[in-house]
Amino acid sequence: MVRFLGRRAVYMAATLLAISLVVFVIVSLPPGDFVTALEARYAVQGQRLTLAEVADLRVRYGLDGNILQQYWHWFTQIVLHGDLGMSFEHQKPVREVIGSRLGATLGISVITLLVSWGIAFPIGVYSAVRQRSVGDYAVTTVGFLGLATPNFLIALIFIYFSVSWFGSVPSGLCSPEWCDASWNLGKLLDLFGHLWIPMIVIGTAGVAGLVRIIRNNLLDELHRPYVTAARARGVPERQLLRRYPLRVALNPFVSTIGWVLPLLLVGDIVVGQILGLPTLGPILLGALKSQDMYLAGSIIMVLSVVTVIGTLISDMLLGWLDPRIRLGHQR
Amino acid sequence: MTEPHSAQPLLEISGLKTAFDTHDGKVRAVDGVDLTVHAGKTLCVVGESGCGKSVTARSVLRLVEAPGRIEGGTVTWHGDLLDGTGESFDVLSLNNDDERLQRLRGGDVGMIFQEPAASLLPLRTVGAQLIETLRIHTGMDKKAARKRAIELLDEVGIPGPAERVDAYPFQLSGGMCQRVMIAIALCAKPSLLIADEPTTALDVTTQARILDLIRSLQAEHRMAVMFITHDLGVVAEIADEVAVMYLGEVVERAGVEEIFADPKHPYTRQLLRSVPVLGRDRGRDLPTIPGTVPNPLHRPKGCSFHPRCAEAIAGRCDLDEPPEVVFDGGRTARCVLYDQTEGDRA
Repeated sequence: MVRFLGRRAVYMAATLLAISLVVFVIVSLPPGDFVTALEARYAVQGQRLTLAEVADLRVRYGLDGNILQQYWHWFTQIVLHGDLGMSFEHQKPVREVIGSRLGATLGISVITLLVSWGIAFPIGVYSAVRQRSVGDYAVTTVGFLGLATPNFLIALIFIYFSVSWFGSVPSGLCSPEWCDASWNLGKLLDLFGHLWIPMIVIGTAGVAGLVRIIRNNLLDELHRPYVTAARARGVPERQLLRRYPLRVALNPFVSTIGWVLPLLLVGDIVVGQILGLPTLGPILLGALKSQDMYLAGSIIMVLSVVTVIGTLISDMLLGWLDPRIRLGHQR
Repeated sequence: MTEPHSAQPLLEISGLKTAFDTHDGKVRAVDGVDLTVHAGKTLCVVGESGCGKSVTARSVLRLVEAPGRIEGGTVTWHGDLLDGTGESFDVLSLNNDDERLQRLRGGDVGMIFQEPAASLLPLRTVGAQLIETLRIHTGMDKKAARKRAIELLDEVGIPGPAERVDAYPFQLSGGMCQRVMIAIALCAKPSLLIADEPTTALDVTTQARILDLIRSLQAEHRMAVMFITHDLGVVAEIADEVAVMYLGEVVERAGVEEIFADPKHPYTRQLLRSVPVLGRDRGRDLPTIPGTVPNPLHRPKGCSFHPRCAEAIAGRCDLDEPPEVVFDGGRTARCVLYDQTEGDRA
């Protein structure tokens, strides 16, 4: 186990190193830099920066060196000091920018995930056990609709109806009067009043996808010889379903942790933008647009780290859950 | 001949019909099968692949899965009457949640399958699956069940049972897995063991050992065995009675010695002729039955064997369903050759 972890740690470090380089290069790849983007923004407002000011800004932001030097500076700061650098746009340390949004992002994502799981799981199992029943066909049809409809479209539909019926746009996670208030019951209720919209919008496609996966995984297992054999020895149907095919069908889910974790962190970018959610997604989008390279690079780096760690966790869980993986080499 | 009919009937299958709905139409996998398993005796069901042997066996415990469906007939269990605990009942007319069906599956009737390794869940230890079954049928507590599980593994000849009880199926060979399956099947002391080609996937040495094991356990527990196989060598070794199936029907039933000494149905004769005999067949081509089992979707009219039968009578076999002829001693054959000549019309 220790050897396994050690080997994986080396792989992970190498992977992250490669990712960091690629990320930084790609983020800096578009022509221009943050100062160019700033100039453009000033120009829109009718202001102009003098050449001296521009050069001054470049020096201040450390944008005058070559890209490898910038990368080296950024990377060593992260590794040695855990310092993600400054966000040009927000004029704050990146750590603070990310930190301030992490809570809302994780909150929305985790709740959405749990709710989607809670809904998708029983539907998927039902749909597989009663394959080709009316219920299965209904679930499958609705599921395909949900899968095929982009989340942002659902968000737009929600906004349309909410404007035409209630006259307001359900944006953000709090009403203006509560946003700066400290936490109390009123704010909590207000939060729940807002939370259900992103939950439904993000959850729909998630539920539809999960139902498909659970249904197909389970269908693969339901007619295996071990199911017939267990039935033949009198294992009651419910216990049979739970302990045999379902047990096998759920294993593939564990391997999705690797990509579910970063998804939880960033939230749905486009939906976050449309609904004005205080999640990391819109920040990442903004940072990429304004070429705020330390912020964008750092967010992507954090996501990469989480992905790599998530993959390790899922591999360890799989080994724990599935003796074929744990003991496979003994055969 | 051993005298099967002196023993009490334990399981009576009558007019069993099981069909599968496929895209091309309904496949009648089992089409009116009558079989009787007598207490303590071994009935071998033989036939080529696709003749409905396995489906018959699975129908007994209602294990046929969609798109398959049991469409008719009765499966009467006399076990409760024989041991004085109740009445005979028709398994097929029980509700799905009937306690008697649960008790039958794994309790009074144990079952083993063709692919022993695939018949065990790879994610749980063989011990866990054995203990689960023990607890369902005997109500033992965990500790007692584990102790009994180790005893059972020992009884079926698994070396180091105290360690193997915690092994996963993929850590054991096919033969060992089949021994585990046998231990599971026998854990509630059933009066009938249904063995669905239990040695087909195993190599010849293992095959012989498993057969020996089944035979000795049968003698020890005085249980009946319904043995599904396509291997006539196995039949000769273990059967008391034999039922020969062809395309979903039983074409001949007889005691094992009668079958080998005096096969009545042309299909049985041709089956026997295509078994190699040491010495006799040297340097000759082994006789085969011409053609293959027809697609059950396009069952031949009349006797379903007539296109492959050397003795088919034109204008008779290709038109009329053959009668079931009953001979002295109770053996039967479904063939026009014996109609009115040797036997009485059934």
